[in-house]
Amino acid sequence: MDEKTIRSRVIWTSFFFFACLNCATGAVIYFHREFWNVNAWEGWVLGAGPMAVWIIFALTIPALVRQAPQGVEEAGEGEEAGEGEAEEAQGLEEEVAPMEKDLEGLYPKEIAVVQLLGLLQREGRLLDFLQEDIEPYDDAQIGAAVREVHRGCKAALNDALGLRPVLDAPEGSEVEIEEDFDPTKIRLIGNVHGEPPFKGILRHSGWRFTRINLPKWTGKEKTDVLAPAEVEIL
Amino acid sequence: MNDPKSRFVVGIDLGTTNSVLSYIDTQAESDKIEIFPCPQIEAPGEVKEHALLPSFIYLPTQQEREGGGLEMPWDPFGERVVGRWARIRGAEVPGRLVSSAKSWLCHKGVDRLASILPLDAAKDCKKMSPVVATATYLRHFKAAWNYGIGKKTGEMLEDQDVYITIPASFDAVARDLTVKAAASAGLGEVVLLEEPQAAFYSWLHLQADEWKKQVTPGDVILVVDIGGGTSDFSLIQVSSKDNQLYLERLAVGEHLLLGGDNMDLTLTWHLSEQLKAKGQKLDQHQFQALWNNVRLAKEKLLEDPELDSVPVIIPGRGTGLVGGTIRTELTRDQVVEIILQGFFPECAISDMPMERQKAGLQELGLPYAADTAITKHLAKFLGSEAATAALQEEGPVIPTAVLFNGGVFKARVLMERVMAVISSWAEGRAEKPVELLGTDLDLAVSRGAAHFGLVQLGEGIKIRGGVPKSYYIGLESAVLAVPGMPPQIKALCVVPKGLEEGSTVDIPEKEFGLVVGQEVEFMFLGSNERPEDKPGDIIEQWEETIEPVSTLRTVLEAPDIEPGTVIPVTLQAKVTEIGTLAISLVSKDRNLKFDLEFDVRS
Repeated sequence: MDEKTIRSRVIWTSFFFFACLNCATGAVIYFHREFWNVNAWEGWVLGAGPMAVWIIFALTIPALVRQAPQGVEEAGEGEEAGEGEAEEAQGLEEEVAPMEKDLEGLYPKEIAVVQLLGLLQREGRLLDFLQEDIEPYDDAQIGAAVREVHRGCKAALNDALGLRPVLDAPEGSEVEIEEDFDPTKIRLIGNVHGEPPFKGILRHSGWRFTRINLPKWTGKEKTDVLAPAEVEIL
Repeated sequence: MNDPKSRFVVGIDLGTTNSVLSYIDTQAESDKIEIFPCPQIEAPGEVKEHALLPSFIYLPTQQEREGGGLEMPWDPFGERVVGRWARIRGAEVPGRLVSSAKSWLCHKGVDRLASILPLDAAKDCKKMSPVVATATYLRHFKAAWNYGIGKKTGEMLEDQDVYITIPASFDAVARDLTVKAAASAGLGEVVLLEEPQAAFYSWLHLQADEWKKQVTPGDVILVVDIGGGTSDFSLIQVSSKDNQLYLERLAVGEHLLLGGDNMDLTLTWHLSEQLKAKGQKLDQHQFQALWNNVRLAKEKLLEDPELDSVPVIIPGRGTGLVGGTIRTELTRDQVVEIILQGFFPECAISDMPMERQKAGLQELGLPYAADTAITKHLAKFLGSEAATAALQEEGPVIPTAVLFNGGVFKARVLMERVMAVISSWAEGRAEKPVELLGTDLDLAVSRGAAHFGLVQLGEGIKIRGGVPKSYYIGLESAVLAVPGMPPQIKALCVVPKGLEEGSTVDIPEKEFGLVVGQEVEFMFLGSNERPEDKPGDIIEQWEETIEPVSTLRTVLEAPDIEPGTVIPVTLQAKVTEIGTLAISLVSKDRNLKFDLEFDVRS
């Protein structure tokens, strides 16, 4: 069952509930004719109130169902909303079924992986490149494609992560390692003995990221799509 | 500084291809202009903030809407996607993409209130009018602001002073429609500002008090603003009175639908034709990829004079990236020939752009400039009556300084080319024109609009200028009608060029007897070439210099007067504080006023 069905169920169940309520309040007006007067606010509230509340409810529910299933409960309309949520969870279960169990609970931790790979594919066709069998092609042809991959991925990666070297010195130059250096940041190789400070040659300046600037995720909570298939309608 | 009406002063650059919102917080310590990072859909399910909001609207299919991922907090059903994803996705499905709304907004040949965009819409796609499209961009900014800064500070965008920029060449009707679009986006009253002026304000903002040292009285500054889709020229004069410096916008150029996108597209066509000759036909998607890479290659070639050619890659279409990759190259000769010779040729100041050949039947579409030579259009502008009369010069006006704006000029070579051409025109003069530097080519217009907000509060210098064109009403002359001949029409000047914002002119010279309860209709005309005309002047032979702009219409409804009564009225014109024109019929005796409305149905 998809979100649309859930939405319409919630809306119509609540319609039934509010319509009954409106009948009841209508009856009140019937027995208290003094309310049947444009100037009496009771008349308005009793006559149109429940349906007005339902209209507001019906207008807000689609956004709530999609964006924050837990938010529905906060909206206060206990029964119907709870039902909607349960159904939604079930619905997603069905969708996920053919996938491997590992993908359960993808949101929100792993979504970053999906996003980053999706981004590199979108901007630089990285997945296409890595998955392709490049054996049959000559280096010039591969080189041409790599230009595109390199340009797109480099820009996307820099924008998303702000890559910087760990040590900001030219490779091959002599660097000094402080006494309290962080071994996760600097790996010593070669003739390592004794206590820091050390002197050495920078062989690889390392990489670190300065930010995680991924777009906000507003899509489905569970997905196994990194890049959609494209079909051209002629 | 006067007390600000609102906490933020907001400038919106509504560009043909990109829009930008910037703002100044008047409660902050400095007058720093901030660029609003505008959230927009990056790809389905992903929302990201960018300084530029591409001016594109994508109308998703029902399946796409139900599939989700296109919603924004203010668009819970994802009905209209605005921004980056709209541009990318729309290129794949052109029948659902609304673009260049701004160019349509000033296109006299179509009904601008009718739902006409996308022009070749998909069958199930609901069309929208250029005005609604413009309102959609503004609504996106409004909602994004209110969800971001609005939530934090409690200051909603509709409560702020908002300044919207328009091309200087926009006529009175297009200005009116822009204000209408802002109103329908719920922005309330906005003030309009011409883009070249905004670019110049941005330069003033950067210079702070230094600007007085950079220009001297008598200087004439030319602003060359080449955006994605339009080219816009303005002349600004520096003068002094009582030891005070004054800035005045003297003249603006004609509306030119010619910009950076045309240049990239021409190069792309060229390469794709070359590939076709070799037997490689590109589909829509590949053409887009080529377009994008050609732009990058062009910039590289223009920046580095050492390069002879730059490879251009069209990646393979399917998952087979390497196998399907097409490699071609863009050579220096091509760029020089197509861009420099085609768009920025060296020319004499007397050269005129080629006129379009009027075809009997014209296809419904945008009236792109017939001649792509921007330098020739520039020569025409500097030699035009509008420019020369304002300066009371004999020959063409040669500027003493030039300010460039627009992403096209990221290739410095193009700036240098335009400077060289202008310098060649200044041959024999004591001083060569100089270039005013420092503004950001993409963001200057929006920043300048925010700075203009401060100027309105009394901080900094204001560029005076008033209405850029003179406007006329068409009168049928009272001569004996000759059968078979159209009645002769004379033009009555109602708004002189340069009339300042907030001023009103009465034209008592011409009295009309109008019938109450009936519709009245006037031809509305405008001219860029007759700066000398005064209100009340009647021009008999006008066809050469004045052109029709629109129709003015109203129904004289006066509840106290019996329908059919003839009452005498005179014309009154007003330039509103927000930069639009209001033309009304006034009956002094009866103390009545009827506002005339622009009719944008073509």
